Amino acid sequence: MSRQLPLVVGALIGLAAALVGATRRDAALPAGAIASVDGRMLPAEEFEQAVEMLASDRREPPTERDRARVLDRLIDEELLVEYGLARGLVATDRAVRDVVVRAMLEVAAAERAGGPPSDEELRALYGGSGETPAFESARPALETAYAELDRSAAVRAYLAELRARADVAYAPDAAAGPR
Amino acid sequence: MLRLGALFGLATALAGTLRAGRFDDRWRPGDLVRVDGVAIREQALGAVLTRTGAEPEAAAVADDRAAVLERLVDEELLVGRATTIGLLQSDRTIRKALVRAVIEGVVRAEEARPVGEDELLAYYDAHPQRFAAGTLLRVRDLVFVAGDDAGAAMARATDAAAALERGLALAEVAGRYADGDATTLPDALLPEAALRRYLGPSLASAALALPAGGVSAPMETPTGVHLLTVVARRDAPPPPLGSVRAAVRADYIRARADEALRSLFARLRARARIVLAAGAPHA
Repeated sequence: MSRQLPLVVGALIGLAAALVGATRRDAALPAGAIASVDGRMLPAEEFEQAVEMLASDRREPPTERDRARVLDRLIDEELLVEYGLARGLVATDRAVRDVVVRAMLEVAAAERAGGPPSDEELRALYGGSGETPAFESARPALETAYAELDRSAAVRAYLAELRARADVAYAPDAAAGPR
Repeated sequence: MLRLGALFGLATALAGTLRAGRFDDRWRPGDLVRVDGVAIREQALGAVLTRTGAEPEAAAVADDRAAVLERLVDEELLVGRATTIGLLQSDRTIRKALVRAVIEGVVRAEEARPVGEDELLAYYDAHPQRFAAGTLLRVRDLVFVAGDDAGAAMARATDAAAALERGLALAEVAGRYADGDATTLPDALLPEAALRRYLGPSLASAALALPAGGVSAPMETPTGVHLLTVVARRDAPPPPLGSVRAAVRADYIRARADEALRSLFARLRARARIVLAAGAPHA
């Protein structure tokens, strides 16, 4: 019996793993979800968009099997995302970190940016002198420049707010030159 | 009121001291800053300085450790905020970057793992034709002109494929269903490069995947629908391992990485709790 014990334990672990990992169907998923992975919902809309993309590459409409493959791909993506997060890739992978920072800069700009500039604001930026082009012909360039300034100011304000809320502590010689 | 102000000042000072003390206790060699408990280390600063220092226009920034350090603090604040608001899971670009990083990590790990001579030999013995110097094919390319009705051309090509499947002679099928042969394709055994030149990459790849006597699925191109038949095929004998070692090694590592990824997916799926909606598709 003692020799068989590891086999039995192994079989039980295998069975438990299979049960835990088993995919099941559940009518009680929230409306708008096609599946959930470890409690995280996969939106049906996203699934349908992926199916439409597949359909646009083909002459034949996607079969049930194609749709199942698309869903499998979305589930795999979710598993990889969670795995990547659990492995700390946001902290350690430069490429991922750069993408996160860029996405956050967009969030910052969107949250803090003002509306379109008024004529007065554009004129203030224009300054106007004898050698500059007429205001109206310079308007597109002024609007671009204003949007850029506005975006920079929005990001600065956002960062200032984050700093004010954060616990930032410097080592005594943090910026004291190369060690 | 003065006493109250003094008490408040004292409390603030104490809180500041405690905070500084808490962090001072945790400074490790190489730690420069802590942002909400996350350390920014000398190594990270060095990496940015090296990277930016490589670009002449960024040299001024690279010289200024303090400025770069502040940028790293900003970066950490943004990453922390992205985590808090759930952007890491919801933003498509970030999700793609994470998926790419995981896959690249698996591939890199396989590339770094040594390849034993026995493994390499076993792999080569199992897939000798993959490394053969070349394959010669004689291909017949029947064309079904689409004109205004692409569906009709596809239907004729499908009928032609079925007729070949039933054993009808190629010449008869060509006469009955097709609009002719691709005029430029020589009726001779051709090497892979020539096939790609005459047929283009997609049709050539489809032909190369067929055995002698094999018929492709109808394939649509801007010139019409094509149906390929491999009239003859001659595979060159595999070369000795020594002459293709680098290619075999690269292919073996790629196969190993594929296997590692499949195994990772299997592990993740086994651990995950996956629930499908009642109407979700199933294969």
